[in-house]
Amino acid sequence: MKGNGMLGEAEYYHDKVVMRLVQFSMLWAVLAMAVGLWLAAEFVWPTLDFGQFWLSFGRIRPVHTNGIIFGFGVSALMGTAFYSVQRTSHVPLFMPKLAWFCCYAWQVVVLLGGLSLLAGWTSTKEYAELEWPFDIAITVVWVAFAIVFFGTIATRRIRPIYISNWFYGALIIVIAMLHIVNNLEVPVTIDKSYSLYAGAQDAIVEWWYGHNAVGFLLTGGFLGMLYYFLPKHAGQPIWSYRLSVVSFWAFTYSYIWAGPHHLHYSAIPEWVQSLAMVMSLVLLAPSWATMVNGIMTVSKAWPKLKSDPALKFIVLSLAFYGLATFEGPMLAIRSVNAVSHFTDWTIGHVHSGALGWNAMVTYGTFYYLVPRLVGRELYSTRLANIHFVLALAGTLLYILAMWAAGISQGLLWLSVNTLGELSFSFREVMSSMKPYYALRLFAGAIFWSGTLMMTYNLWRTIKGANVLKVLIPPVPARWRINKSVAQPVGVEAQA
Amino acid sequence: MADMPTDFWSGWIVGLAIVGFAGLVMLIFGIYFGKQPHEEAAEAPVWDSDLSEGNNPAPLWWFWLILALMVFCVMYLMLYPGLGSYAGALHWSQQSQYEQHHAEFATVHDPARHALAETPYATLAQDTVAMSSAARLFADNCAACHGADAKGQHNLFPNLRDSDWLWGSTPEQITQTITAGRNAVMIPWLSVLGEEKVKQVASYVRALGTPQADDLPGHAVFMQFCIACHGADGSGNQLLGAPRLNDNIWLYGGSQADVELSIAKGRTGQMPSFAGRLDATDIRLLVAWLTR
Ligand code: HEC
Ligand code: HEC
Ligand code: HEM
Ligand code: HEM
Repeated sequence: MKGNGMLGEAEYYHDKVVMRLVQFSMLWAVLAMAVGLWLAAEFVWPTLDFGQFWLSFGRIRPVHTNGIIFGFGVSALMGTAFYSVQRTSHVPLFMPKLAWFCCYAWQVVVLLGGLSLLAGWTSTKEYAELEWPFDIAITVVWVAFAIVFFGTIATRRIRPIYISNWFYGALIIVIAMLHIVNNLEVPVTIDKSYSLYAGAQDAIVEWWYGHNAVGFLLTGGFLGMLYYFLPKHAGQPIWSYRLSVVSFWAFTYSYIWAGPHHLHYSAIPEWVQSLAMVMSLVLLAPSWATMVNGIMTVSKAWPKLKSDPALKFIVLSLAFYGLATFEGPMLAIRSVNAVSHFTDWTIGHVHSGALGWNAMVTYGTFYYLVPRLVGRELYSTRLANIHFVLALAGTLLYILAMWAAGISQGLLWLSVNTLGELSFSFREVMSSMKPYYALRLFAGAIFWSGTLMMTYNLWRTIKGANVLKVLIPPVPARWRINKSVAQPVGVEAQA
Repeated sequence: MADMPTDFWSGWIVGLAIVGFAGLVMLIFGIYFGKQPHEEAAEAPVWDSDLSEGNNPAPLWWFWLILALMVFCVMYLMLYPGLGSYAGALHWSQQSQYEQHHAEFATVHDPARHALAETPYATLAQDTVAMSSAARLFADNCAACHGADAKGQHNLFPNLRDSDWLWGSTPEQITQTITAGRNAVMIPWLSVLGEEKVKQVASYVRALGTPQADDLPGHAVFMQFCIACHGADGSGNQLLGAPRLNDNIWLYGGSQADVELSIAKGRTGQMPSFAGRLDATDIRLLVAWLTR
C-alpha cells in the first residue's frame, strides 16, 4: 500500500467499482423482471413457452428469482456496501483490486448461472438451484467480498462502527454460513450433485437457508442500505440509536429460528414448527422498530419529501417493509398458514416485500447515489416522479391481485359441501383465477416500465461523465483511531 | 417424543431457546432502563461529515409490543410442543389434530354419506348435489387421463361416455374397474407372426363385421391366434378387457398403421387402482355419474 498519509498525499474513495455495480444491478433488474413478466404471462397464456423447454415455466422461474435476487439484489448490495463502508470508516476500500474482482466475477456467476438454469441444470433447492460449480464460485466471490468489507472496517479511522455496517456485516457472515451448509453436496457430474441431507432434514436445512436468505439478504442487507442512505439523504441523524441496537439483535436472534415456518404441517417435527412460529411472531417487533426508526428519521425532513423522488422511494419502501413484516408473522401462524400455504397469497407476500421494499429502497438509493457519483443533477426529476407513481401503482395492483387470488384459492380449496366432498375442483378454482393473473401481468408491466424509465434516466445522468474523485474527510479528533505507526490523515503528519 | 433421539438434544433445544430468550429480555431491559453510552459522551460520533445517531429513547409502546409478543410465545410454548421433547399442556400434535378433524367430519357428514350407499344409482343420477360432487371427483382424479369431458384421449385412454366398454358396463363392473384398477395385456405379435401376417390380420381386423372379411387372408391367422381373447366374431371379452374389434370404435386408433402397431407391439393399458385414494362413497358417486 502506498504512502500511509505522507504529506500532501490526498486519499480518495474508490467509487468507480460502485458505479459499475450499480450499472450491473440495473441491467439485471430490467432483465430479471422481464423474465418475471414472461412468467406472469404464462399464467394467462400457458402455451407461451412455444413448446421450447428452455422457455417453460419450470426453467425460467428460477431464472427470475436468481436473476433478481443475485443479479439485481446482490449487485446493489455489494455496490452500496462498498460505497458506505468507506465513508463510514473514513478509509478507501481495503484491497480495491479484490473489490473489482468481486464486481466482475459476480456478474459472470449470475450470467452463466442463469444460462445453466435455462439448460436445465438444477439442484432443485429453491433459491439454491445453481449446481455445485456455481456454489463453489459463489463461495469464492463471497469470501472476497468479506475480505474487502471487513478489511475496510479493520483499517477504519473512526472508532465506532456505524449501524449500517452491522447489517452489511451480518449479511456477509450469515449468507456465507447458509450458503455453504445448505449446499453441501456430492457432485456426480459437472451438472449434477446430490445433497448431503435427505428427507425432512434436507427440508429443514433448505428452509433454514431459504428463510434466512430472505432475512439477511432481502431484509438485513437492504436494511444496511436504508440505515446509510436514509439519514444521509434526509440530512438527519438516525432517530434512535437504542432502537437500532435492540432491533438489530432481536432481528438477528429471531430470524435464525424462523425458517421452518415454511414447513408447517409437514413431516418435520412439531417442535421445530412451533419454535419457528413463535420466533416469527417476535420478529414483528424488531421489524416495526426499524420502520419507526426510519420514519422518525425523515420526520424532520418532510418538506424535502415532497420534492425529492429519491427520498419518496425510500420512505415508501419503509411502508411496504412494515406491511410485509406484518403479513409475514401472520402467515407464520399455523392456522393461517393452513389456508395461505400453496396459494398465491405467498406470492403476494413475496412481491410486497420484493417490489415494495427491496426494489423501491434500491431505486431511491440509486436516484440519490448515481447523480452524486458523477457530480451532476439527475437528468430528469419529472421522469423519476412518474416512475414513483408507476412503481407504487404496479406494486399495489400486484399485491391486491395476489391477495384476492390467494385468499380465494385457500378458502375455495377448503370448502366442502353437505356430502363432505370438496365443493370445487382444482381446475375450476384455477380457471377462475384468470382475471387476477391478467391483473398481475398488467401490474408487472407497469412496474417494469417504470424500471426501464429509471434506467434511461440514470443512463442520461451519467452519459459522458466521469466518476468523481472524492477526498476523504478528516475524522473528528474525539473518535479518531490513532495508529501508532503512521498518522492516517495527511495534515496530521506535519507535526 | 420419537423424533428426539436423546434427552441431551432435547435439553440442548430447551437451553438454547431459553438462554436466547433471556438474552433478548436482558437486552431490551438494558436498552430501556440501563445506562446509555451516548449519554455520557459529550457528543455523538459523526461519520462521513454529517451522519450521526440520535439519542431518542426507544418508544414505550414498542416495549409493550415486544413484551406482549414474548409473553404470547412463552404461553404458546407451554401449551404446544416446542421446547424439545416437552409435549405441551394441550398434548397437541399434527396427528391428533388430523384425527380430531376426521372425527368432526364423520359426525357432520357420515349420515349423509351412509345414506348414499342405500340410494339406487338411478336416484343418485337425479340428485344435483351428488352429481356435482361426482363431477368434481372426476375432475380432480380422472380428468387428467380420461379428459375433462370423460371422452378419453386418442391412443391412450378410453372414452367413458360411449356405449362401448372394455371391462363391462354394469355398476358392479365399473366399481370393480375403479376400485381395483385394470391391467389389459396383449402380447406383441410381431415375433410370433412375422411382418406379413401382421399386415394381413390387421386388414382382416379392420374389415371385421363386413361380409367380405372372411375372404381375406388374415382370417385364418385370426382364427388361430386371436379368438381365444377377442372371440370368433371379434366381439371381445370383458373378463380380459379384450376390446370388441368388429365395430368402429378404437382405443388405439383404427387406421391400418395404428392397428398394425397394436398387433405388432402389443398393448398394455393400465387403469390405476383407486382403492387407497377414494372411499366406497366416492366411487359410488362416480359410478352413478358415469352410468347416468
Ligand atoms: C393414469 C391414467 C388414468 C387415470 C388417472 C384414470 N384412469 Fe381410468 N383408465 C385408464 C386406462 C389406461 C384405461 C384403459 C385400460 C385398458 O386399456 O383396458 C382406463 C379404463 C377405465 C375404465 C374402463 C373403461 C371401459 O371401457 O371399460 C373406467 C370405467 C375408468 N377407467 C374410470 C376411471 C375413473 C372413474 C377414474 C378416476 C377415479 C379413472 N378412470 C382414472 C387410465 C386412467
Ligand atoms: C391374451 C388375450 C389376447 C390375445 C390372444 C389377442 N389379444 Fe388383442 N387385445 C387383448 C387385450 C387385453 C387388448 C386391449 C389392450 C389394452 O387395452 O391396452 C387387445 C387389443 C387389441 C387391439 C387394439 C384394439 C383397439 O381398440 O385399439 C387390436 C387391434 C388387437 N388386440 C388385435 C389382436 C389380434 C389381431 C390378435 C391375434 C393376432 C390379438 N389381438 C390377440 C387381448 C388379446
Ligand atoms: C416486473 C416485476 C415482477 C413480475 C411480473 C414478477 C413475476 C413473478 C412471477 C409470475 C412469479 C412466479 C409465481 C408463481 O410461481 O406462482 C414470481 C416469483 C418470484 N419473484 Fe417475482 N416478479 C417481479 C419482480 C420481482 C422482484 C423485484 C423480486 C425480488 C426482489 C421478485 C422475487 C420473486 C421471488 C423470490 C419469487 C418466488 C416466490 C416463491 O417461490 O414463493 N420478483 N415473480
Ligand atoms: C417479519 C418478517 C417476515 C416473516 C415472519 C415472514 C414469514 C413468511 C412466511 C410464513 C412465508 C410463507 C411460507 C409458506 O407458507 O410457504 C413467507 C414467504 C416468503 N417471504 Fe416472508 N416473512 C417476512 C418478511 C419478508 C420480507 C421483508 C421479504 C422480502 C422480500 C419476504 C420474502 C418472502 C419470500 C421470498 C417468501 C417465499 C418463499 C418461498 O416459498 O419460496 N418475507 N414469509
